[in-house]
Amino acid sequence: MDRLAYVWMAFSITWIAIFVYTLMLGKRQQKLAHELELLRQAIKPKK
Amino acid sequence: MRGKAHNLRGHNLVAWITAFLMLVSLYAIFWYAPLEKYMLEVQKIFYIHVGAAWNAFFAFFVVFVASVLYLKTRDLKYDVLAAASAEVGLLFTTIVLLTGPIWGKHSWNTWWTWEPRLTTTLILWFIYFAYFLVRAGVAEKARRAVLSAVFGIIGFLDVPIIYISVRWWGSHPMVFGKTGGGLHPMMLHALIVSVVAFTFLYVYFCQKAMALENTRQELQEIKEKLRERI
Repeated sequence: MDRLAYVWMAFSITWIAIFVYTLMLGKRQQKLAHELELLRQAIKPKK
Repeated sequence: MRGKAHNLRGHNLVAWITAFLMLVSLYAIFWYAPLEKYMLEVQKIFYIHVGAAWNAFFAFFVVFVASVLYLKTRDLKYDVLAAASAEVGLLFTTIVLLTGPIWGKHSWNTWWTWEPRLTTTLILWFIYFAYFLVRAGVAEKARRAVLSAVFGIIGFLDVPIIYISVRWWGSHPMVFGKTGGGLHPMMLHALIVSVVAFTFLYVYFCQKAMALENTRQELQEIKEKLRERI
């Protein structure tokens, strides 16, 4: 395998791992925001 | 609310500094640092590999300290810190375990060898993976915190073993120390920038994971209180 291919592979894997973890945190935040919204709706006084 | 808004601003600042440092580290790795004589471009992997490894060890050190503090004070904020730090440590160890074999394939002509440092690092990954299995398996908050604190303390024992493994049995390349080849000053600068960039990434992820976990726990408490009222 070409030397540059090793470098490319290592850096891609690192950035993908960082990106995936960032996405996971984003998903968690989205889920919490959704739960918060549901809670808001539930305690909202009915007219 | 003001406190939370302030926290978010803090996260954004750390995020911007991290992004800037990541770009600077890429510049330092690919343009500033000279090519190594024998490995040529492949040596560039070393900067991210070591940056991630040092911060993984730092993350597990934080888990260790936070776990000790939790057992001493029973304050759940230390449990949240330990869990967030373990999560980021696991991510960085994954990066170490994935980038190492790529370097190994070029240098040793094999993707994996049961060499002491590689083996003990893999064991570290499994220890902290199990840490999350323990957390997921116990529903009661205080019991989960105690069990994970004990696990976090015992798990950290592997970190000094990884560090010493090279001196005791080693065939893993050493950068510093008596048998380390030393680094060209410009390579050392690039390494320092990379380690600092990964440290900021660690701080950013840790802050974010902690804030999310705190919010999740608050929401859980509100839900429980609401259920009691109903």
